[in-house]
This record gives sequence, C-alpha cells and structure tokens, in this order.
Amino acid sequence: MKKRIPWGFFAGLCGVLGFYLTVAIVVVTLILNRIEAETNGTASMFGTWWQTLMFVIDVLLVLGIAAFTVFAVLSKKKSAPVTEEKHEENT
Amino acid sequence: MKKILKLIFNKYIWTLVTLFFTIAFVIFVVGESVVRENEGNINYALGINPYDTVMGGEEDEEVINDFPSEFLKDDGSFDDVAMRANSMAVSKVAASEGAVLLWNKNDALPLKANSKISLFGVSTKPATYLYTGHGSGRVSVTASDFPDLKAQFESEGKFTVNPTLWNSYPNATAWQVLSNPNGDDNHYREFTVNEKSWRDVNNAAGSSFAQYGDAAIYIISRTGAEDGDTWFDTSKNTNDNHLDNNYLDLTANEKATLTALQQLKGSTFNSLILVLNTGTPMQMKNISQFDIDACLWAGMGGNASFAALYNVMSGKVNPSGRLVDTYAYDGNSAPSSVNTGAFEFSEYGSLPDENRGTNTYNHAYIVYEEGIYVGYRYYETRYADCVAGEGKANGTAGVVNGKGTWSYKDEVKFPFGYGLSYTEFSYSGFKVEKKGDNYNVSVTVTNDGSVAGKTPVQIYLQKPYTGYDKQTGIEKSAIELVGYTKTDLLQPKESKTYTVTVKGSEFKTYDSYGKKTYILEAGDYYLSFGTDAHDALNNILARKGYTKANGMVNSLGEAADGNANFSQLIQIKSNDFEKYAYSAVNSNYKITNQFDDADITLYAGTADQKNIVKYLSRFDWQGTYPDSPVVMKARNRVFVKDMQYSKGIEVNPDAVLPTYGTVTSPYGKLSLAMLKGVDYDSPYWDDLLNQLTWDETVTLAGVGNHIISACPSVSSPAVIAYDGPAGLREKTPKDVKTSMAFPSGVLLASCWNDKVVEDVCKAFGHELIHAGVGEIYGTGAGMHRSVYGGRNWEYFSEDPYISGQTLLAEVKGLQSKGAIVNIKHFALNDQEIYRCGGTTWANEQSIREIYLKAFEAAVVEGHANGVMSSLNRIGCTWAGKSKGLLTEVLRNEWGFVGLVETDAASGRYMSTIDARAEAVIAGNDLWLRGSTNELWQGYEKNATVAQALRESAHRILYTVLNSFVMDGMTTSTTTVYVTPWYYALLTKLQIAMGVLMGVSFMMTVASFVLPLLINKKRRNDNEEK
Repeated sequence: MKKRIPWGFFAGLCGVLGFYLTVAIVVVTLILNRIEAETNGTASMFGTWWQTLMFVIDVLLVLGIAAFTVFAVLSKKKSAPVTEEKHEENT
Repeated sequence: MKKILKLIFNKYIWTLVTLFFTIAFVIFVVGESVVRENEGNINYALGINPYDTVMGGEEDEEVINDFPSEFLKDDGSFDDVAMRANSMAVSKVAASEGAVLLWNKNDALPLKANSKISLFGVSTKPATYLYTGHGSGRVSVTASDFPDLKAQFESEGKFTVNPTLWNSYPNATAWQVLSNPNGDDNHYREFTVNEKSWRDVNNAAGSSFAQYGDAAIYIISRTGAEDGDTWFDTSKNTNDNHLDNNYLDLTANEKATLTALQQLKGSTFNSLILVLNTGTPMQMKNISQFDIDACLWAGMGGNASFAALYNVMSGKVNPSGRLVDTYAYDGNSAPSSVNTGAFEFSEYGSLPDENRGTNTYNHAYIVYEEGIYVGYRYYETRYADCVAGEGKANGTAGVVNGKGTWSYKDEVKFPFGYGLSYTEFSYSGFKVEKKGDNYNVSVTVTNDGSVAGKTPVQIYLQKPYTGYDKQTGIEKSAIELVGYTKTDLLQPKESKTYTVTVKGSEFKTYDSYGKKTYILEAGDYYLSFGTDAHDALNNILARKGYTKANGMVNSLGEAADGNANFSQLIQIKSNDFEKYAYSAVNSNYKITNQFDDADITLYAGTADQKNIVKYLSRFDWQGTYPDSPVVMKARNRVFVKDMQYSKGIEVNPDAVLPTYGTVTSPYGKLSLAMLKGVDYDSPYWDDLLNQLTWDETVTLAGVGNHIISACPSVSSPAVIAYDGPAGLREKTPKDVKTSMAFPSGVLLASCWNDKVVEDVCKAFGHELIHAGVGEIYGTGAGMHRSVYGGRNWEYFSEDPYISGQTLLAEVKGLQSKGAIVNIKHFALNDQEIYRCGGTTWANEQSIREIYLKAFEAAVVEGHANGVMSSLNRIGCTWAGKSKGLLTEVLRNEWGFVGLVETDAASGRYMSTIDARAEAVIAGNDLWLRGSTNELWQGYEKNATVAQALRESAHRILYTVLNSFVMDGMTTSTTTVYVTPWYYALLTKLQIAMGVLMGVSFMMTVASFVLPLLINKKRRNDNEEK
C-alpha cells in the first residue's frame, strides 16, 4: 500500500512554529516600542530587516497551515473510497 | 476500542504536542537567564523597585528628615493636590514672565476688555499646542488639567472667543513626528505641521469673522526633539510646502492664512496678532513681510501655557521676557549652520562597524569651525568690525539674506536680549565701581509709562582684541553678557537703582595655543549697559567715537548713534598669565589644555588633514568664513586606533586592590545613614566601602536603567530616576494622577530672573519628592549652537553666561529639595543627528568659553550633585571616557563631588567590558543601562580598575546619602532585595511546561510503541491460527 504523506502533521507543524513566531513578533515589537518610548518615539513591526523576515516567514507558515490542511482533507477523501472497496473485497 | 486507542495514541498529534511544550520549556529555561541579565530593563518597564527598606527596631532613633515637603496634610501625609497647585502657580508666573513681546504696533496688545476675538491655527486646540517639545524630555500633558485656550480667554468674562472658528479646527493632533522616515536610521525624526488651508477655514467660519473681529490671533507652532533636529529637507512634504525649504519658516497654508488675515485687517479685523509657540527661533524673513500688528513669542509653557498667554495678552502681566537667541532673517546666516547636519567620513580605515540598531555611529563627525562665534557673538562682532572697518567684515562671505556685502541689518531681525513691554523704561545713573576683583555696575531704571512693569538690567563686556590674540589665534567677541538682574515690578513713574556684580574672572580669556591656560590680557575693556546685546555694543562703540556715520544701526536696523554714557572704559595695565591659570576651587591645580585631541589643527590623528579646518576669525572674516562643510576622513593610523572601543588601561601604579564584603570599622557594621554629615574625604567612608561586595560594586556602577541600585551590605536605598528637564515623565504623585509639565528651558532662561527659575525648580523638586523619584535626568545645558538643534527647547540659550546662571538657579531649586540632578549633556552634544558616537571637533577656547562655561557655575557655585556624560565622542574619545573632561576639568578644576552617569548606554563604544574599564578610570561612575552583561568581568583582580570602581561607588553613595531618598531612614534601617514577582511566575511556568513536556513525550513514545506492540501481537495471533 502506498504510504500516505502526513499532510495533517505538516499543517500542525506549521501551526506550532507559526504560533511561536507570532508571539516572537509581538514580543519584539512591544520591546522595541518600549525602548523607543524612552525618546517619545514608536517602533514599527517592520522597522528592521529581520522583523520583516519574521513576518514573511509567519505569513508563509500560515499559508502552509492552510495548504497542508487542504492537502490532508483531499488525501483523506481520495483514500476513503479505496478503503471501502478493499473492505468489500475482504468481506 | 481500537479506533479509540488509535485516536488517543495518534503519533503525529503527540509529536506536535511534545514539540509545542518542548519549545515552550526551552524558551522559559533560556529566557530565565535572559531575564536575569536584563532585570534592570524589565524592572524599569514594569515599574518595579526590587529593593525594600526595613526599619530597625529602636524607637528613639533619629529619623532622617532633611528635605521635608512643604505640602503635608494634617496627618503628615503628602498633600499632592496642594503641591500640584503650587507647581501650577509658579509655572504660570514663569511662563508669563518669559514670554517675549517682539513688536506691538497700534497698541494691538494688550487686548482691550470686552474684545471679541478669533483664534486661528490648528495649534489653538489642546491636542496640537506644543506644551513641550518631543523626545525623552516630553511630558504628556493632560488637557483636562487646565482650561483650554478658549475657556482660558473667557474665564474672567473679559473676552469672547469666536465659537464657530474654534469648533472648525480639529481636536486631534495635526502635526506629526515622523520616525525614521527614510527607513535607514531609527534615530532620526522629521516633523510636519499640517495647518488647515485658508479655504477650508474661510468656508467653515468666514461668516463669523466680522462678529469676532476685535482681533485675529494666529498661533504657529514648531517642535524639535531628541533625535530630531530641524534642518531636514522639507521639499518631500508636499502637504506643508515650507517656504525656503525650511521647517522653521512658514508653510504654504500658514502664509495663505497670514495673507488673508492681513487683507481682512481694517475691514473685518481691527488687529492681527501672531503668537509663536516654538522652542527655537523661526526664520523671520517671510514672517516680517506681513503687516502684523503684534508678535508674541510664547515659548513652550507646559501646563501653564494657556494661562500665560491669557495673562500677557490680557495685560494682567506686562511682558518682561527677553530673547536668549538672535532672531535672524535666515537661520542659515549663522556660520555654525554650515557645519550643522549629518556628516560621515569621506574615507575611513578599519573603524569599528556602524550599528545604528544598537546606537553605534562610528563613521560620523561634526566640526565646530565657527569657534566662539556662536549666535550673537558672530553677528555683533562682525557688526562691530564693519563699523570699525576691520577684519574685512563687510565682505561678501556670509551674506545670506542680504545682497552684496554683509550688513547687520540685513541679517538680524532681533538681537539677543531684545524684547518690548507695555510700558516704557528709561535708564540713567550708569556707574561702575571696582570692588576687589569684581565690578559693581549700577543703573537706575525708571518706569516712564502708565503700566507697572519689569525689565532686565543687562550688563555686557568687551575685551580687547590684541596683537597677541592675532598672533596666537585667540578670538574675542565684541560683546559678551557678564551679568544681569531683573527689576522689581516698577509702578508708573517709579525709579530704582539696581546693581549687578560682574566678577573679575569674566575678564579672562582662554589661550589655546600660546599659554594654554586662562590669561588676563592688558588692554582696554568696556563694561556696558544695554537693553539688548546690540544696544550695549552700540554704547561701547559710541564711547570709542563711532557714530551712525560709520554705519551704526540700532536694534531695529535704523541708523542711530549709541550712548557713551552707558559704557565705561576699564584699563588693564599689564598682562597677567597667572591670575586665572589656577583653579578657583583648588588653588594648587594648574589649568591647562585638556582637549588638544579634539582640535583638528593639533591632534596627531589629523596630521594628514590639518588644513581642512580654518577656524572663523575676526582677523579676516572674508577669508575664514566657512563656505562649505568640512570634509573629513578617518584613515590616519592614530585616528583609527583612537576610534576603537578600547585603547588599553592606563595603569595606576599606586592602586591597591580594595577590600570587599568585610566589616572593618571598630564600631561594627556601618550603614550609609550613619555617615550623614560626614565629609566626602572622611576615613569613615573607607570602612563603609569595605563592606560592599564586588557584585554590589559592579551592579551599583553598571546597572542604572532608571535606578541607582541599593546596596544591602551598607543599607543604602535604591533611587528611582526618570526624565526630564521639563517635568517628571511617566511617574506621578499618588493623589494626582497626571504629569506636570513645567515651562521649558528656553522659556525659563527668557525670564532673565534667576529667582523665578529657582522657584519653578523648587516646585519641581516637590514633584519628585511626592512621586518618590530621587533622580532626574536633566536639566539640559547644551548650547543653541544653531537654530536647528532638536533639543533647543530643552536647553537655554546661545549664550553661555545666561545658560550657566539659569542652570545654576535650576540646580539650586531642585537640590534644595534633595533631588539628584543629572545636568546634561556633558559635553559638546549640541545636535541630535549622529550623536551616538559621532566625533565632535572644536578648539579648546571655544570648548571652554562657550560649551563648558554653561555647566561651570552650577558645579562650582551650585555644587551640582550629578552630571550626565554625553553620547558623542570628543575628538575620537567618547565623552564618558574622557579623563580630561570628567576628571581634570569637572573634578580637579571645578571641584565636582557627585556622580557622573552616562546617557542611555546601549552603544557598543560605551558598553564593552574594556570600554567600561577605561571609562570608570576616566571618571564615569554609573551606566544608564539595565543589563548585567559585560559588567567588568575579568577586572576583579585588576587593582587600577577595581579601585576606580570603588571610587565610583564612593561618589554614588555620597550623592545618595545627601539626597531626599534617605529621608525616613534611621541608622538601623536595612535594605533588602525583594525578588521580583516574575521570577516566581517563570519558575512555575518552567515546572508546568516541563511536566507537560514529559507527559506529552511519554505519550509520543507510547503512540509509536503501542502500534508496534499491537501489530506484533496480531502477527503472533495469526501465526498461532
């Protein structure tokens, strides 16, 4: 039997990494804003290249969640009729 | 059942759950060390003081109460409401007294009673008016703490404000502070104005103008900020369209508004009045084109802004402020403006890398090529030389607003010291009497008008510009302020004589290249009285025999003679190169050059480019006026070496490794409180310092982010610190939950009244006591080197004398209530761009006579207890590592006994371990930084560094001992460290995540193993079958 790719796992992996990256983006922005508040300034979420990179990766991870979830659903639908036929054969 | 087991033991789910909790666990474990390292920063962000004082058990012990509040309730607790009322009262006096009436035609001011007035400008609304400038000194004003402008003007029923016009302006902030607009520098700001268009104003409220036409009052505001100089290119801002591409000139909408209002004068409005809400001079060349009846400079009055405007414009207070800056037609007419801005080395060798994200600018420079010719020293000296026909003064170099050759009246609109009143004063009886080394200068002031009023009595000095000066490169300003006082409120026809004492030491000059010390030269000196600097100079020129035939003009640019009766010749018969060559505080200390390495013409590191600078000289104005910015490179081997963060420790052969953590006093364990009243040099301090541990010592010196750490071993309390010069930021008294913004530095200086300034700062001291803040990062005494300095609103003036006297008054006021005052920024930090590590270049005479002089009186006479070393480099040496500045000048020459603290210490050049070691030896005591990283690790056994750290601890503890923070303590009070709450939270989270990680890991293992076991059992069962 052809081994199924665990799309759901990848979706979950993206979810876990995305969660922590989102937390990191928020925490970094808060810290930078606190530092900037010293001189009455503000910091943006895209103030530095690495902040922008974090945001881009976060967006990719969210897209990954969506994409892998779709693949997981499709894969499950695709494998369901085969399973029923086999069951009928076996019985 | 199988399905249920399969669902529970899904290996993918448990793998993800394990990953989730493992990451969380690692974050909390690693995070703990990050938190510990940054505890100082976190405590500041969360408002936590991790130290507590525990009273001792003895009942009859004397409780320290050296700085009691004057505002207490019957039960002895703080009366915050009464204290705040006092702050407002003294601020209203100061903000009213500092306002300067620039012109007043047709008796436009004061407003007539029962006037119906129209207030124009987005700045009329509470959200937009500038109570302070921006940056760390900005105090958030709560608009509901005081009446808005309309309510203020209508408060006594004297005036009615056009409501339709008032409501047509937005309540939201119109101007903007743009942070990092070019995306490449987080320490760079620009500003917009966003004035409403005249069309919109007219459409919304034009029909109401006639009904409220007694006066049209137009308020214009300009800000400045930390990180925000005002020289930026405004051409990208197509909304404001500043005239002359200059933020300090009118915007297109402002011009349109003034044009329209001018046209409506006579038909709709009886008068047109302009109010300038600024912290630095605006360009006058376009403003002066309009037919405006009256113009009032209101500065930034803090919470008292609107009350002051009302007081002055209603006539309740007769304006008596005088300008502390020259108002030029064009801000670029000052020679300093040529070398103001963002300059980076055209070439450089192996300098440390720039890292703007960590406040480290290693490729920047600024050259003070104008020398001593800052502000009026330039304009008035060049004018004097034009009159005398000397120094090619009337050449074409430096002509900015005028045409052809240089002319004073083409460049200067209002001189330093200028201002009008609602009454007229006359002066007589000018007399100079020598008293010892000093001179008592007397003037009789008569109020000739019909309204009571005050006025400053301004005394100026002219020193001779001698042949020796020309030979040795000494520059002499034609006029310098050397003394002033403010009259009482003189009633109409009242006369009174005032005497100003001018110190003999004001006659000295710094000789950078000859004797390399202060000298008193033989020659003709003139003391003069004047209503402003130009008037005083004219009086001297008159005594010298010059008249309007020689091109003399008065302060308004009209041909006029001076009055020789208000000047006095004083002849110094012979040179004296010894009299002022020694410290006034420490007579054995010989004063000599300390800043040769900041002078491009002397420094070995610029030997390859000595000719890039030509200091401006009155010997040849035409030939030395800077025509373009200095272009500098940093390739020289010595230069590159000096720019590195560390050059190596200067070993002290006499240094001894300190004793730590040991009780050595025969009286047993000492507490800091026991040393109350003990001199700094008493041997008791050795015993106290012996009790400190090494960790306490380095934490005390190295972790100072808005706190001076407590030292439990000597029971010293923690001291909380906040910004800034214009009021206490972020922390409020318990029962008054809003901040108090005091009148800004430049407005206080404009009072020309040290008593008023001292009263304001005494009130400021009370605010600190009631809020529990022992240290204030301020006040600021940087110079108004150019009109474009972003923090000019925080600082005082272009003149070092009035800057110094105002700073002295502030320090006296604040320290009278036991505050620790970090006077800043020491030194040569007079612009914002690239200040974090940028190199500053100037000659010794200008450094001492202009930039250091502003700080001197506060230290020598006021016994200032704190100094903030600046972020910039002096030459290639960061100010905090400059032994010449912090030890030789500040301590040995001036006798400073207090602490030196850095500015925000995140730049790499300030915070590496080796840089800190050198800096503490040089005399920097405390780092404004919250991290425990790089705290002199590795130097514990280095006697030179360890002894320097001990001395820093000594200074810090001495300063704390003599502050109000000790009030309430006894000799048996102890200080304990209280672990902040977030450590307990962190531990709980670590345990929780660890448990969850373990459980989920086991489940993951189970979910892999269980199917294998099940499959194995199934295979065995099948085989059996």
